[in-house]
Amino acid sequence: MFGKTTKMACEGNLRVDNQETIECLQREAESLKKKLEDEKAKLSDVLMGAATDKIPKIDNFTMKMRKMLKGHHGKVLCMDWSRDKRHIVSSSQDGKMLVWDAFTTNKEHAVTMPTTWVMACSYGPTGEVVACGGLDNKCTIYPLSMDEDPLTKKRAVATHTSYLSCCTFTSSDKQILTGSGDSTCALWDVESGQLIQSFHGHAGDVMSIDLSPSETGNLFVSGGCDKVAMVWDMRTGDCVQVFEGHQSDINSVRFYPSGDAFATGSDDSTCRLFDLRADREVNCYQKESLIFGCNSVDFSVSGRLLFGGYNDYTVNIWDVLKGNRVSILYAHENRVSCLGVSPDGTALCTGSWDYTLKIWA
Amino acid sequence: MSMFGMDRDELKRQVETLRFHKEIKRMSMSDAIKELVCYIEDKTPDDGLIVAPDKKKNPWNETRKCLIL
Repeated sequence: MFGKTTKMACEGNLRVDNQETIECLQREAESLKKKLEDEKAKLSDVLMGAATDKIPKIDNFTMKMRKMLKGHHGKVLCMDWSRDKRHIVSSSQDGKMLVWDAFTTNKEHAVTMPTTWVMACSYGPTGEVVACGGLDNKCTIYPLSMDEDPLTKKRAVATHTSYLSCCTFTSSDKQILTGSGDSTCALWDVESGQLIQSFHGHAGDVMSIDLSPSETGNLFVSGGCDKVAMVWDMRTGDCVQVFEGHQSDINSVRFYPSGDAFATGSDDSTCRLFDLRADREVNCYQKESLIFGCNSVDFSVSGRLLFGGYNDYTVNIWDVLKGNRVSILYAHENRVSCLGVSPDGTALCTGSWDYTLKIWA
Repeated sequence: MSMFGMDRDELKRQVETLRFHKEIKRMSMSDAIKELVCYIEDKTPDDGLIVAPDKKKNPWNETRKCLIL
């Protein structure tokens, strides 16, 4: 084999090296995956249902509609609560973003975007700005003031190479985290519009992100069309944990209030609970009769209840500990696309393709 | 491209990630669940969607009299 010309030998070696390296890497990846699975299996000493057997069920659960927010002329795609527990921002397919006073049901601001399908919107922590975006691939910030039209002060902050699916401010109005159909997440400086950190690892559209509520964490979770949820370190850009299990797109991710776990909602019609410290799925919320996808999830403030908004127009309310369905809300006349529990935990807001938002308590 | 549709750099990144994940210290399921239960039991009394808050304190309560009563 060494009798051939140098050039050919080189090419040959290069090719062999290349193949060997790829084979080696594949072998190592497979062996590591196996070891990880074995280790996780070893620590799986009990099922959640059995561990919570003695805890009483939730009885006499009631929840009813308190307010209806009418004003969108298209499917409601996203909503977010202000930290004042009273205002809500919502965005819709017709290109409008509305800011509501949920107590009075009045619309306080209306912004028409230069795009349809505004899939993401978020309230800034100070309550003085909102951000939104969608098919324009951008995240635009609108300062809210009673004197001026928010449009005059708008500022495009983030640009992706595909649609913006989700956005959320970090602990201040100064930074915003975005997720996109280009399969990345990114952290941006609001003032300068500069990219601070990007997060690569998903093999499909990112659909949802959520920041860890623990202050020291600097973590966020993302879920997407690759059926995988990933936990990221915001400072380094590293993916620190990967969670598999869903059979279809993950549409929504939300941290458990303690920050030690998170829930997901998926097109496979299940919601799941993943624990960061156990590094695995700890519960799956499903019913045989439930065959429609789940678009959005959120916890009650204690973490005991998990709300899921589904394509069959309902909201299913799960007991996080026991795994059973506590109640079902026949909430809307079309898909429930988004939902969120108010920051003080007194109410649930749902948004739907039936053009309305509703407040439940 | 490899058989999994990943090129070498992607494979390398995957292996590095897996090596990193192999080193994570994991809690057993039973301990993790115990902590989730503790947190919930601690916070449930203040969960307004499980324990109905005092009517005067509930901002979503209708001010008019309840029709059922």
